[in-house]
Amino acid sequence: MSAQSKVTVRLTPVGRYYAFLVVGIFLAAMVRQVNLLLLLSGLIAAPLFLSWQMARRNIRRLSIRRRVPTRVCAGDLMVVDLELEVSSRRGKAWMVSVSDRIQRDGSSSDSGGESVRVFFPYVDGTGARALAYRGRIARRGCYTLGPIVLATRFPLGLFEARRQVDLHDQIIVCPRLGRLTENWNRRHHFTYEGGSRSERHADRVSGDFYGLRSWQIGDSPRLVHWRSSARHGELLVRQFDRPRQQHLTVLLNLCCRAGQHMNRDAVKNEQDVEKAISFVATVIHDLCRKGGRSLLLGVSAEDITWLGGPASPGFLQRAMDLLTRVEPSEGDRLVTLFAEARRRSPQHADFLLVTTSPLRFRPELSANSGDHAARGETSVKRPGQAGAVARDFRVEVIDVTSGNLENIFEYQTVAGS
Amino acid sequence: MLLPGTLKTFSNTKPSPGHDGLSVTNTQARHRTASRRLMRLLQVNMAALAALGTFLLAMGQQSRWLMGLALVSSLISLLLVDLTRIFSLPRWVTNILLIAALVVTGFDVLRYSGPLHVLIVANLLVYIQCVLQFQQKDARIYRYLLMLSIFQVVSACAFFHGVIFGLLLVVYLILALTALLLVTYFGEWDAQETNRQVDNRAPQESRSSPLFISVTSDPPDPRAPLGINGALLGRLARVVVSSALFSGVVFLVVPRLSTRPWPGIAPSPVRTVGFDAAITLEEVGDLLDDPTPVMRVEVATLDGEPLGYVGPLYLRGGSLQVYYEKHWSLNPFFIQNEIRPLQPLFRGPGQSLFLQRIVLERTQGPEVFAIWPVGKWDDSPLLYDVDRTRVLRVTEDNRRTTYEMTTSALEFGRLADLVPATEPVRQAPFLQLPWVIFQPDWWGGRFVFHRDLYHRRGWNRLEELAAQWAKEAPWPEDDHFHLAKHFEQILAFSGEFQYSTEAVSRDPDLDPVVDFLTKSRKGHCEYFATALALLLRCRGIPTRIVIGYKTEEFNTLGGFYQARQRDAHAWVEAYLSPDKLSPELMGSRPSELWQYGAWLRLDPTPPSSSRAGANQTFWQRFWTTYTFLDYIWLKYVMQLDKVTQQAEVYQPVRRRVQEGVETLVRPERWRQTLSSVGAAIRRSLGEFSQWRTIGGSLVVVGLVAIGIFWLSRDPLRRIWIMKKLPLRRSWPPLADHVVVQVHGELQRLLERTHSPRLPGETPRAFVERVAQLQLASGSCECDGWTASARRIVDLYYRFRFGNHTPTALEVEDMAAALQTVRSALRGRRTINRRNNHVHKIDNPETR
Repeated sequence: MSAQSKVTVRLTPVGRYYAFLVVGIFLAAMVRQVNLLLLLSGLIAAPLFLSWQMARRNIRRLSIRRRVPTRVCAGDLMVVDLELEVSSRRGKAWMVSVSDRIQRDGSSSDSGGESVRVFFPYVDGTGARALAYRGRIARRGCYTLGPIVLATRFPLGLFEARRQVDLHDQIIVCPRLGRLTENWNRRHHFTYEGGSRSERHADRVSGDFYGLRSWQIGDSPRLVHWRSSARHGELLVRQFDRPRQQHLTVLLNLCCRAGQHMNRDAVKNEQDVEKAISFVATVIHDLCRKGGRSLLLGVSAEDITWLGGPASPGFLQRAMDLLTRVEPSEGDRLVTLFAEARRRSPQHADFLLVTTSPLRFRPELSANSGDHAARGETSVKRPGQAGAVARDFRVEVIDVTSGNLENIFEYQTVAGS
Repeated sequence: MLLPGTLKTFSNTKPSPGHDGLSVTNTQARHRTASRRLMRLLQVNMAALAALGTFLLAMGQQSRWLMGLALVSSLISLLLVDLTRIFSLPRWVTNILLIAALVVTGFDVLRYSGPLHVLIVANLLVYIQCVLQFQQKDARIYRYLLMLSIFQVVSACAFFHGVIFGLLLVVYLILALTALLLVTYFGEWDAQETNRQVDNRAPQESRSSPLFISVTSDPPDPRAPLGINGALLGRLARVVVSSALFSGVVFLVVPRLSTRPWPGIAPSPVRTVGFDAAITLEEVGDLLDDPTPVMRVEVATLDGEPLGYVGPLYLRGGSLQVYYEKHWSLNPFFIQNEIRPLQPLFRGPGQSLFLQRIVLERTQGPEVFAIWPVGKWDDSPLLYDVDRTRVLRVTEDNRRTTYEMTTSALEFGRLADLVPATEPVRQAPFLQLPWVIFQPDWWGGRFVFHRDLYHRRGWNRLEELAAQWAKEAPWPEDDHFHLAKHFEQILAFSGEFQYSTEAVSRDPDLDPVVDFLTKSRKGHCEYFATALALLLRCRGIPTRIVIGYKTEEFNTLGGFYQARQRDAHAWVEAYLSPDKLSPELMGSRPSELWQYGAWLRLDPTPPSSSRAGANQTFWQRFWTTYTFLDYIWLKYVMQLDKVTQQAEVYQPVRRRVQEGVETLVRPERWRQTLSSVGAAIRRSLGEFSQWRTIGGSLVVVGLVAIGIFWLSRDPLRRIWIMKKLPLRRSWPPLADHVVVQVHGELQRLLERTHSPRLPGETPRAFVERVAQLQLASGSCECDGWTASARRIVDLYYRFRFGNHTPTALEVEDMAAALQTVRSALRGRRTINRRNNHVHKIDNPETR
């Protein structure tokens, strides 16, 4: 709800001309002693004073409420509802314009803000009047709405009364989501899919039934197959196939390349960063929608941030919050990121690395040639270990700067993003 | 929270151009989307305002064509341009027409000079207004029209106006304020529409920042109330009334710097009855239907005390002596050619003088009309024409002027017919008959009886008629007074002669007066007066004809007589020499006053010609009121100067304030007032009977009891009283009762604003349910008061069911909590109880 604040009143341009006219007529009347002009000046002067008072009263007893979604995606339609109400039952207000401001957190008021004006012709005590404004925010980030300014030029347009209401709301604009293409789906159906399909058993054992073996210390008594044990005279337990990959580590390396002073490069880099973020967001959204696996998200931006958990709406929300706020760093911390990821990830985890730093500058990430995304595997040399190839995890590397992302991800840029 | 499903993948779909697809940008489309009702009101209002503004200007110029132009232009533009949109001027045509108007005005300015420049500039405003009216209008054009209209009214104030202007000015104020309000409304609405159209045209760009796309507001719902309702009209009315009052106060209070206010550019002077060397019969005729005001006359004592109605007033313009062939003129043999400054009238024992204040409109001639005999009173430069016995003003500036003179013609509150002559009278000029002609000869000349003329023109008939009437008269021939009266009665009341202002065909062989007397017997006042004058001369009674104004139109509201053009009149004055005056005629006045004889006023015109008889009562009242308003307008608006302001405004106000301050400051006045009030009370009590006293006391006691009950009904007031009284606040019966009351008040508040308490529902459950209802309705304002409500219920439980006596602090705590709840729920309307059944069903406690 809005808090009461001071009403300021100022003359409008029309009011200035009007006041000038009143003064002029009065002076002419006094100089030439024209009684009729004096009468006329009194008649037109009174509305000037009354306008001031009526404008103040018109706006004083108003209260405003705002309903805003807490989250939207960049480029999606955002609707903000405004409800204007008169606090007293018999109160009435005319010609009220409500100005709201949307400002991106961290930006200056000149470049990162937008004002919008909603006009309420009439409000009375029978109920609140609601109007909305809508638009699309092109760029992800945190935005603050407010303050709201109530203004009116009632009744004669000579004075404008304004009252600022310190009503602030936050809206989080999540990264824009794109569409994963058929290439991606085809490539990763068996890699990132399937984990959910096997999770249909009533018990908690994962994997398909494989066979029987002798009981070993540590086996769960619930796995004992009693019939076979009776037949064979020894305890036999059920044995299950190794489950498919259920853990995915998604790494996002955001960096600005050093020495980018030219605008074109800076814009390109910014676009790459946004593309990378959108791609990661889309992948996570897709996986969380399907569920059934655990995820670890690591983002190398100004800091390295980690987020882990099962693929779920909760994880999705936290991931979106994280991706909303990240900004690229100047230094490239890919190695650190990767090392930490290996430490945090379980064995047999799959890795998806999305980077805005060109891989041609990274000799330790040697690739045989060509298309990393298509090969599906790559080898990683541990630092200081020449020739050694680690084969205990799979990493898919996507270099956004190389332009190969378009094969697997459709992304529509929005003006301003 | 954004969940899957709302986080839509955005693939190959472009943002729609504007959120609702609107793409029309021209003015007509804007008008379509704006409220039609608002548009219509504005169009009609502006047309009326433009027409009225020009009408006010045309009133001052007395220009009918300008009035017609304003009306026609407004009507046609309203129909063709605004309502039906059939036609409108293209921009280039408008520009050409405006340039043409400027060029024409420039030529006129060079050609004319002086006050005419005001007219020329004012007319230019009218031309520009007419051109703009035929354009497609937006908020800017409406503002221009408003401004032009105001400037026209400003120009109109340079002219002289009557009270109609003042009344129309109030109407203009109403229209102007309404127009300004509607233009503002329309401007705001139009601006909103324009912004939406701009954003819809360029959805990919934002006005101020690349971060946003098409952030636009929803338009106001065209079906939503505009607020043009009684409340708005009430506010407008308040502004109008306040403006009128403020203007009145400013007008009266702002000091005038001059004794001669701007008189206003006046139309052509009023043509009054002319008094050149000769007047002609029929000259008055064309004035007799003209209601144009000529003057106002107030009659008062010399101390300024108004006398009120004194009967018909005869305001002399002048007199003439010789009649010949339809013309009255001065007797050339007795002209003195003497014009001297007006002298005061003799004021001696037995001679009563009265003040006559005459406000004379702008007239063509130099005459000042007044009740005769007339004497000097103030310093006005007035002259007296001895030959024509008329008062003249010196200045050539024929502006409206007020004159104050004395007269001795009033007696016993009425205008006397017989007034003493103020100077010696030579009778010969007043006895000359039309058929006695002066024939010059070498001795100088002599008057001869022109027999041929006498018979040819029918004068013999006149003389025969006079002799016949004299013979029939019951008074002797030498009783000039009664004889003259007899002749007057015959002409006025016998019924043989008819008053008529229509042209009457007369026998060309006869003199018109003879024809009037002997044949047609129909004519207007000049004929009657001429006939009487000549008839009396035939009997040897000196007479003269007097031309002036006779008015009976007395305005009871203003206490003045209004003389109009149609009151132009002719009558006769007969001279009675001192020997013809009997003591009865002289009355109570001393004989010295009659030393020069007396003049007897005779009005032979039948009274049925009087306008008063022809008016209906309603119209009389209407005209009386209108004339009074006009009088007030002239005196206190148009002619308010430094002197009048001092006398009529400052001094009375100062006097009243002084009296008020004295009343407040002096203790004697207070003592007097209180003792008189006490005496009045004692008197009234003494008059009261026993039963009345008992009844009165019961009424008083009852009122006091009701007051106490009303005060104590509100638990907060009771708590307040408890704090003030010396009773212990924790006195159990009182404190418990207050606790129950507070809880009861809480319950009433919640029931009134939310939902009634269900049967079997505990107080705590009730509060919780109401809080849930509040949350469910989406309101986030409940946190403040629900906590307080819960607190009240907790305390109530402790006191009511926990056998706990509330302490003073707890009672105050409850009071504060109740105040919080009350403040939060203030202004909340009672809910629709029809919806409550849903909650009853869903409430598990009631299953």
